[in-house]
Amino acid sequence: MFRPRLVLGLVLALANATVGFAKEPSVAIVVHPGVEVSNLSMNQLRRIFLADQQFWPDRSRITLLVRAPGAAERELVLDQIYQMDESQFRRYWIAKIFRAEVPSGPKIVWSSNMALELITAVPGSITFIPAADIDAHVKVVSIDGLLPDQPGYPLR
Amino acid sequence: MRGIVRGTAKITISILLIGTVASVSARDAFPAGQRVSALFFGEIDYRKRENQGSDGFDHTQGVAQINVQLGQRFRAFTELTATKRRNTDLRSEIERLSLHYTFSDQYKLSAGRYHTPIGYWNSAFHHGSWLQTTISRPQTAKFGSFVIPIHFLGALLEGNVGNSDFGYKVGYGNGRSEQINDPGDIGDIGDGSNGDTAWLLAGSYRPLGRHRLNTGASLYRDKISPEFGPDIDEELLGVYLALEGEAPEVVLEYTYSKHESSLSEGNVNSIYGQVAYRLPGKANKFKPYFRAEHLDVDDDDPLLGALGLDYKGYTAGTRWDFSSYVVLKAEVRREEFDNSGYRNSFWLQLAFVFDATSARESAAARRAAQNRGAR
Repeated sequence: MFRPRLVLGLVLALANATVGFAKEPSVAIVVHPGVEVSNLSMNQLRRIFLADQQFWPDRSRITLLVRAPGAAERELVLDQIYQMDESQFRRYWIAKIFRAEVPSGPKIVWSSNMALELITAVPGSITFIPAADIDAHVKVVSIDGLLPDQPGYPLR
Repeated sequence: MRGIVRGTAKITISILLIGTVASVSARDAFPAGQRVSALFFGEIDYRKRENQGSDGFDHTQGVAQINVQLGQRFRAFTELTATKRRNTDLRSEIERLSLHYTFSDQYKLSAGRYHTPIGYWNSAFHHGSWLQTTISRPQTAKFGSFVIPIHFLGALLEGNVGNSDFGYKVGYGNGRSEQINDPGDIGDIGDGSNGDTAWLLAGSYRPLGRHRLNTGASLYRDKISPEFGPDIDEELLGVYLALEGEAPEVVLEYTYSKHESSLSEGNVNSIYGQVAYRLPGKANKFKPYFRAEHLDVDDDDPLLGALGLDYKGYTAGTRWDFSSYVVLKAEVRREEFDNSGYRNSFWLQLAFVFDATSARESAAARRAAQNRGAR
């Protein structure tokens, strides 16, 4: 009862799904080359982006660079990491400064180019860029042991 | 009304002057590692109370916060307020001023004048009217409250417990002065005072999550030397639970204090619960809220018993975020002060925030990106 057409259809459907999965845009977390961290758990990443953790394990200060509103990668980070919308995000940082928990909010970057320039220039910095914009000079941090091109990567 | 207008103009000019200085200074005048940021809050309040005169536009307040990063680990924080109430002179005050040294996320040491970190409201909102959902503060934490010491002058050690979601604060400072709603800025020592300092201990638990749970407890101890009568030992316990999200936002807070002198002793119990909910869809600029509160002071309480502080109140209203940084709030209150029967009132508040640093940095970053050509 072998049905070649059914098997072929299933194979094609599976291939299509895999290609679609691979093409799903993801966001890479990148850090200054001097940061001695190569992997972060999702909880650690959240604490860093929420400024609940402001220092790297070597006690150097973390500088947070965040893409300006309007970029797709910012929307993804707000949803996946901050779990907030734009107005909640704005209010969160104003409250954080108001309570004297941080000296200022994240530094704003307006493009991936700008993020990549600053990430190499500012010691202790961390930011996010579309995985497609990664180049050879960038230090990418894995999240829960996964890099952006691996299945199960959480930031996509 | 003319006084309020003049007061508003003075406050606005003061804020703009401070803002200009802070922003210009921050632009390029500081060496590497140093940075200035500034936040400004403002509010204009209107009230109409049942069977009482002296209503209308009640007061305006401007708040300027300046943060100065003095290097990797040192920073200074200053909060100044200017308040104009009807029929009173413009009053300005240094609300908070502190110098911070950060060893790590686990150990942060500071000294200065703070909002006493007892319970939730007093340190979460205080003068940030734009931040708080309601117009009014809970009776326990209102300005000039006798129930908790609103300010604390001393030193604080705070931080995370390891890499967990738990946090702690340990404080040591002057405690209350002879005027018990003052923070003891003049020093809780010397003539007429006992020389005993106050201390506090607070713990919090803030797990990561969409509803942003924040729960904690705090303990405060002081020996008070009031203007008249014997010394009074004060012990204060505050517990709270808050969901800091928008839909819903919940705050539950309970404060208990015990006062003991050689003549008598008494307790104070204060509780309130507040619920707010950001409406979905096209109505999401509106956030209705409701709060119920109860404050009960023993008649025998040697510190507060004679002040007639008993209170019951219900507050309902809505917040309209018609702009990203400007909000209009309207609320009705039904309140009973010192068991004297309920009174109703209606309040309006226009509140705003201006994040000078963020606005300046965003504009600079945008210009830089345009010059380079965004990817």
